[in-house]
Amino acid sequence: MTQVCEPASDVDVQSRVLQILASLEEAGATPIANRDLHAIAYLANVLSPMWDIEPIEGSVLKSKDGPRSTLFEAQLDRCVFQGLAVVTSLEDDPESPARISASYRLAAERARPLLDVINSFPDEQIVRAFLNELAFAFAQISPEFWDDTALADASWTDPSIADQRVVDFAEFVSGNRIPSHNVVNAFQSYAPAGVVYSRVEKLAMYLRLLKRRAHA
Amino acid sequence: MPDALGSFTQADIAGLAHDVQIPENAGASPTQRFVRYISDLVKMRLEAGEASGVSIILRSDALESDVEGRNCTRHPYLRTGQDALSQKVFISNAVLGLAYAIPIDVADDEMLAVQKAGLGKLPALIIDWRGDIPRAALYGSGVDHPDDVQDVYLTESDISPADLKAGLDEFYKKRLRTPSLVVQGHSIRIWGEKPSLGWPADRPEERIQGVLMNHLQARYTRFDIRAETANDDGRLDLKISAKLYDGTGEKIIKNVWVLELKALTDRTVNGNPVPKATVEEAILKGLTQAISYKDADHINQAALCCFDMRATDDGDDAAFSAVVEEANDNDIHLWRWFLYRGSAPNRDAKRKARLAAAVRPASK
Repeated sequence: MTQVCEPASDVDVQSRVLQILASLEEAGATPIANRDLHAIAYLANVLSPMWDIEPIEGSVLKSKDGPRSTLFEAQLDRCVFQGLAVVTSLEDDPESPARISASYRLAAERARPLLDVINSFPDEQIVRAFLNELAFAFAQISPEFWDDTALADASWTDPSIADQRVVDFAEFVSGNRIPSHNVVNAFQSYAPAGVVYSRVEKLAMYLRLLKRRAHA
Repeated sequence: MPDALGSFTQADIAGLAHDVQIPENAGASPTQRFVRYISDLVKMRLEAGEASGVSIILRSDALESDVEGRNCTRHPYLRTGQDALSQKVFISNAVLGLAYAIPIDVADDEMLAVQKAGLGKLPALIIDWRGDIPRAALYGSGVDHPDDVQDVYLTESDISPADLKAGLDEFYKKRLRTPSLVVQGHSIRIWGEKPSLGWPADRPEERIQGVLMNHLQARYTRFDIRAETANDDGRLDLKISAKLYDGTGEKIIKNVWVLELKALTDRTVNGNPVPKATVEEAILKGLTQAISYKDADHINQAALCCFDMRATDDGDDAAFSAVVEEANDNDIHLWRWFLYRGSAPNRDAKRKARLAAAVRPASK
């Protein structure tokens, strides 16, 4: 079996962490709890190949706590230690009493010069546009349902993937074997007459579908 | 075997598509979203009787960082329309989810207060409540850069030909007139490797379309602007529609304008000459498309917008001589802008225009 996507380097992951935080800031969705941050990072990974963007990881372990990435977590910690992200609160995690949940926001003064460099690369401008769309759509969902959004994702809820198995969306699979992509593409079949959905519209529609499922 | 959809069904997808139709604000930049939310806010404040003074609302991309150490007052519910805006300066995010008021010294005006607070680089929307309807201007690079300012329409439900033409003229002057402006304008390049020789980039209409759409979305906040909508006659370039409500409160879409965009070139991307007949054919095809789109989609107004990248500016009459009658018969506006291949020919043209203007009164 050929590996489609290799894990990204630390620098790439840290860049993506900063870009996600910056997009959430723009969309007014900060401070954001750790669990919710992992949820949007997961959605970014699952959906980014549809924009020809390399995800920072191509798979994730399916657990009842939702998607968590150790790669992402390590670079988020690094951002905090380097003063690029701020921990705004530390609270008992209501869903897991053994854990403490942190909330984060961007430390803009220190992060902006770095983001300016990152966003100056043409490929990263596409990443920024994608993450902005994702963050604005994510911010339309009530914050208490943010983590449920990832749990509603089509790849995550694929009935053929049992708990404690790997949800693969870009590591060894591609094309129509990724349920999330199939759902995103399926919207076109139901578009109003004369309308061809752009990829930003399809992304927004998909997040609306996840919102509907999460709120239900 | 059908494609796997996780736990979703085709009915789930169809249901959402039916309810949403076209998602609002998808693809809009943070500043465009910001202006649209303010447009809604202004509507609420007008109904509440707001009618005097000037307001400034700044868009921050990192609100808490930007208000740190600035003695601002928290306004968490600005978006609901209950807070008075007049003679105040607010800083908020793109969705007006949270806002802070910036203190203004008695002797200062609102713009000076922004500059004194060190926030003159943040995108700013200035709303002038004096007059019959509020007027707004967007300072895209902040009030420190008054050259980057654009009129914004917050309350209108129609767009007149004169106003749309003025908006397109503004776009041309700021973004297209010379190659150097094109580079500044969001890095969209419509010229190829040798602008001075007239080599265009590949598919210049599409490149213009993207930037023009952003420009119009910021100017006409109450309207939806979509690109490349397919219909039975092919594809149209930009469609502007208004969301209105009928007597029973049902939402109706009023198609206001269709703009068919054409770039007129006399060179290919590789520098080969383009015959004159090909340009004339492109204009005729553009007109035919504009007519058929206008009829098929019941659109109120249509314009053929030509961006003339040829070597010589022969004027509108020469460019449109073969189609003007058909355009008049079908009520299609014919608009053209000449794109200079460098700063020197642009300066020469401006000088000639000045001289012509100076000579005109004497010849009366």
